[in-house]
Amino acid sequence: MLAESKDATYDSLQKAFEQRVEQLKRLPAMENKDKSIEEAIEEAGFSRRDFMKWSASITAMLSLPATFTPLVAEAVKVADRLPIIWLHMAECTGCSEALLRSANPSIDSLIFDYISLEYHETLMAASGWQAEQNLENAMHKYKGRYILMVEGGIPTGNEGSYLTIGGHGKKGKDIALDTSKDAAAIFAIGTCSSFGGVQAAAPNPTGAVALSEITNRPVINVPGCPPSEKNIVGTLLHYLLYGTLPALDAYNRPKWAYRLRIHDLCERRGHFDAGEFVEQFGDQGAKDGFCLYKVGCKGPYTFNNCSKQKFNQGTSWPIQAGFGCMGCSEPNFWDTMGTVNEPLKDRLYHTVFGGLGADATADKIGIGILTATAVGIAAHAAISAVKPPKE
Amino acid sequence: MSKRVIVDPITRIEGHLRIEVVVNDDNIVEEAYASSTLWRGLEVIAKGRDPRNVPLLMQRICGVCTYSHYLKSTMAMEDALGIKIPYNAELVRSLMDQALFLHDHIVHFYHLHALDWVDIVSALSADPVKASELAFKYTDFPIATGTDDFARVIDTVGKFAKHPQGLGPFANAYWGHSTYRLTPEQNLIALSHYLKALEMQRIVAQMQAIFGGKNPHPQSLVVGGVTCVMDMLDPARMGEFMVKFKKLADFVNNAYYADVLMAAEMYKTEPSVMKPMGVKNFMAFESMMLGRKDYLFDSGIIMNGDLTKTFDVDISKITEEATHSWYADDEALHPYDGKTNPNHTGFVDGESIGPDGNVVHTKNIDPEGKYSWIKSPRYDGHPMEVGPLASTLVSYVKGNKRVVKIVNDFLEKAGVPAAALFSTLGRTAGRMLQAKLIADHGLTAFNNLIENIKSGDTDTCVPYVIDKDKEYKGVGIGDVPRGMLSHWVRIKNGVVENYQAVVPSTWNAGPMDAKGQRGPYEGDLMGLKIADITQPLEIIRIIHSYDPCIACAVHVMDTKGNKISEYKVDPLYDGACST
Amino acid sequence: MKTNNKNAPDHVAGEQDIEQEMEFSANYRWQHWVRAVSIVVLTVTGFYIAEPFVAPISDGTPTNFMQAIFRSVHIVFGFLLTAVIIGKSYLFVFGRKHKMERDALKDIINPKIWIQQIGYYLLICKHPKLSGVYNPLQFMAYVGFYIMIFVLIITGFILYANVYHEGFGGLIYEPMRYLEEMMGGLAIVRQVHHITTWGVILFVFGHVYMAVYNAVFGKEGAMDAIFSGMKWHKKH
Repeated sequence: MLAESKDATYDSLQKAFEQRVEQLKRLPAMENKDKSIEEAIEEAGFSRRDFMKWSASITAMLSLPATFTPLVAEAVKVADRLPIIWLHMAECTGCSEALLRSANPSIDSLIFDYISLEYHETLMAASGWQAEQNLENAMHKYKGRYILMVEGGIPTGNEGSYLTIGGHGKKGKDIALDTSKDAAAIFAIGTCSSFGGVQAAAPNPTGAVALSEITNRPVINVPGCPPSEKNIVGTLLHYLLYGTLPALDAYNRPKWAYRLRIHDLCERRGHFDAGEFVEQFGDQGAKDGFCLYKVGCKGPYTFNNCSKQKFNQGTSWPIQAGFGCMGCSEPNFWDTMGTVNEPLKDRLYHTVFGGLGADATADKIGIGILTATAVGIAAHAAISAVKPPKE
Repeated sequence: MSKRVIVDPITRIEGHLRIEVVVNDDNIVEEAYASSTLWRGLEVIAKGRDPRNVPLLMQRICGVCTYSHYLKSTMAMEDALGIKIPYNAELVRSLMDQALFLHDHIVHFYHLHALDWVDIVSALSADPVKASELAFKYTDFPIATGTDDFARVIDTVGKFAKHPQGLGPFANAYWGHSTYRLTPEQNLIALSHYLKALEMQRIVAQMQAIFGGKNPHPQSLVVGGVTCVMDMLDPARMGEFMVKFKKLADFVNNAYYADVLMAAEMYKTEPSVMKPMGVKNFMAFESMMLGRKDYLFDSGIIMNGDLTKTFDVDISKITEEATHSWYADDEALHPYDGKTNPNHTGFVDGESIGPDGNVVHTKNIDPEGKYSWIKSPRYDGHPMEVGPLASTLVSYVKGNKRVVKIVNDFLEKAGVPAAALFSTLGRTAGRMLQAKLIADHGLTAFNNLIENIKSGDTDTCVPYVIDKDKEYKGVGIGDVPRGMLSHWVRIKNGVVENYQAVVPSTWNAGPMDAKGQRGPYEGDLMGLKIADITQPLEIIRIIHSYDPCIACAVHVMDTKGNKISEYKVDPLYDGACST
Repeated sequence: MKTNNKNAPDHVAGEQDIEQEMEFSANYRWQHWVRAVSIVVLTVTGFYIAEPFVAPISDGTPTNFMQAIFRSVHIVFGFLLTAVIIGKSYLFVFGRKHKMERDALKDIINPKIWIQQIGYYLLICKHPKLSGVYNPLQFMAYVGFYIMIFVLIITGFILYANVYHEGFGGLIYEPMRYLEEMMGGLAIVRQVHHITTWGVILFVFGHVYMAVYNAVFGKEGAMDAIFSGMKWHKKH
């Protein structure tokens, strides 16, 4: 009797186990090329026989019948975590901080359960030579299978000497180039690695460029300053869940996050259509949650999902905090989006007339030229009146 | 024979830093150099931009002490334009600042610094029951130290450690190093808090996001005030802030405080940790408003470790020089025509000790020449240390009641004299004490905000005009998580004419000056004995105790010349600097 | 002598006789005024969209949709302008009655006409004898105008496709996003749209002045031509 019920328990357990292994197998993580524990063991000089023996001993250790042995072996094979190399170029570590804010999965769960964070200068324990070794080991061990995530623009000015790392003084751009060669996929995290970012704003003193400018490998851009934790982890999860790279827009941004404009899903959109605008920060309109367009919101020109996903576990986002969107996920936004608290039409044009300070907006220039034209017209008309044209 | 040791990259910091030391036969450091290896040039980029854009741009100096630069840059603009912002705005900014300090100190201690004190591998051999009991030694209400918590930690990390994919971010570190002093049980307590703190930092970031819209890089400060008026007037939002604050205060008091106490107990006999610091001059600046004329941190200067008196800060005595920095040297004759241009001379070919103890060919610092992107700021010609320890010491010496009590309590519990604060341990404890100060008194600002709103004042922003025909100059100054920060601006033609930031990590990490005086980083490493030069944990621990923020430290001083004394200096908003 | 046109006014100036001649067809004139009205409406609504300069009286509930109405008007007239511009462009190339416009091309390549025309405006030469209805300066101004209008139409469509994702917007979405990327982002598109509007405003001022100028000094009733279609000149 006892044995019978035990069998029934084992049967259901085995079924559950099989299902789980099937599920795990369906997780794409490492694909076929992946080196699983089994292969790692073989590489270390053990045979498949040894591996099965080990699986059997584990099965026994867990007090399971021998029929479970192949399942244990299967389960281990698919349990590998996705290897990640995260580089810091010319950056502020804001994107790493954004990664730390991730809640589902949390950063610890991410590190312990889903990814193998091989190199990340802000989080890793090793420094100096040991840190460099970790990078080399990861590049070698997971050749062609690691995900490269890069934070920061790549300084190329002065032959790239504005950033060096390591005892050999290796240039940042060379490190980025080398690691990108054998990556399974490359994610540029943040506006700096996606488009050059703040250091690439005019006059770009260090010649900072986007990661995609220095490598010919395809780069998936996840811009934002910093991108929300959801967009960083989401891009990674897409790879973990689907095993493929996401669909991309014209700027190589994942469409699931960057398809629509901030404006399209904005919580203040009703007030925009109603023509109700905050005229000045702190006025009654600001207290009533009116549209921030007139105080410089760049949401209509910015593609991102902030209005939907928000930041810090949905706590808030800039427009909720009464400050317009600054367009931080768009290329060269520091230079193209104009003054942050003014509509785009008030952008300063530095190149016009040597940059006449705060005057050089399109409208001021337009009115200026129009005035000049009017003066010209008046003069021409006046002279013509005195001395009519020849017939 | 002297040997050269290079540690590059120093990880678990913000930015790119190289430390290079020369040790003698006894492995005692005889020469030490700190070099920042990244330059971005944000001050150059700020020039010619609208003053309202620049604070957001300056915030991108650093994503770790995010908000610090945003706040000080906004204050500089307001100072220049002669704007006095509403009381509500001051207090909301202060609440966001509190969130930043708590976040920054917790993340620094647990995620950037802890692994210098805590041996994770050792923790796995701890007895969870014993560890759980031990936790009560350091606080009456321990957090995440139940046997169930520990069992889970050991399970998670243990599986991880045995996994053939390796330790991931914890791989190849200095586990088992002879200067790790904690017992396995103590290591386990700290490891559990390492994981718990990952959760806490998320909550404290949410606190800032309530008023800031997001974190990192909040976006709710404008020149003239704050924009988050809806959040400020929403009782649910305010309540959310208060509840989260209390949660964090609990963590600071019962985990952070307890862990530093635990570390003090074990490390107060470790020479590399208790070695007296090289620079004993400290400087701090008033910051963190709690109410009208009530600030949590005081201004002042302590010279030569003399805890009997403080001096007032006279900002006109601040200078910066570039003798050993990668900038064209512009000290000179025509300060008003001077321009700071990068002049990267790079490293020189040489040899140093490689990872396995052999001599390897490397690129080395040239101590005679230029070797860092950081400049060397000096106060009246002296190097100064800034940071939470400096702030705590200055307030302590000045007799700030809140601080005196907290410091004395800690010294008594840890069983160390005040002089012990002049050490790596002291610096780490000073940061914790600052966090505790905020945890204990921060809500005063919150309560004052509620009272003020209750009185009918809902102003958050004041209007202003930027007159194109006028020239303005101003400064925003105060202590931020890493010490005294000041931003300096000149506005002309309605755009930024000149911009500079004098940043905490610049004070601490700067290279030698023309007189050969070393800054705090370098000075602290001098005379350090290293147990194993292939595993320079002692160096890393000392450097980490400063909480380096190297992207912050690297900046161009581009104010026509290298003296900032040409700016008229007024603390905060008392009296506008505008001309 | 009397003119043989019954529309001619009875009075004549002095001894010389004046005759009328059909210069612009009704279709031509209608299109002109549709363009003119569209440009005025689009400029006003466009400036509102760029920075809303009037605010509705609000009771705190967003129910009156002022921006949406301005935007709708902008879009309706935008499509109207697009239609007449396309129509006009077609007629310019293929229209039988528009040969007189195409004839103006001949003068473009004739430097002598250029010099004479500029000299006329500088009040030092006589007006040149033209092959078509436009003088070279005028023709080049119109070419510039049409380039600007096409830039406005394209940038307008890019902006439109990002707001309205269904129907026509959906149809042109992909190519418009491609153009948007080529231009450097939506913010740049928006600025080009705004700046080009200023170009059109300048054109309109110049155009109206020249028309009035020619009416006053050209003695051919140039203003009348765009209203009634007739131009006046001394009988040959």
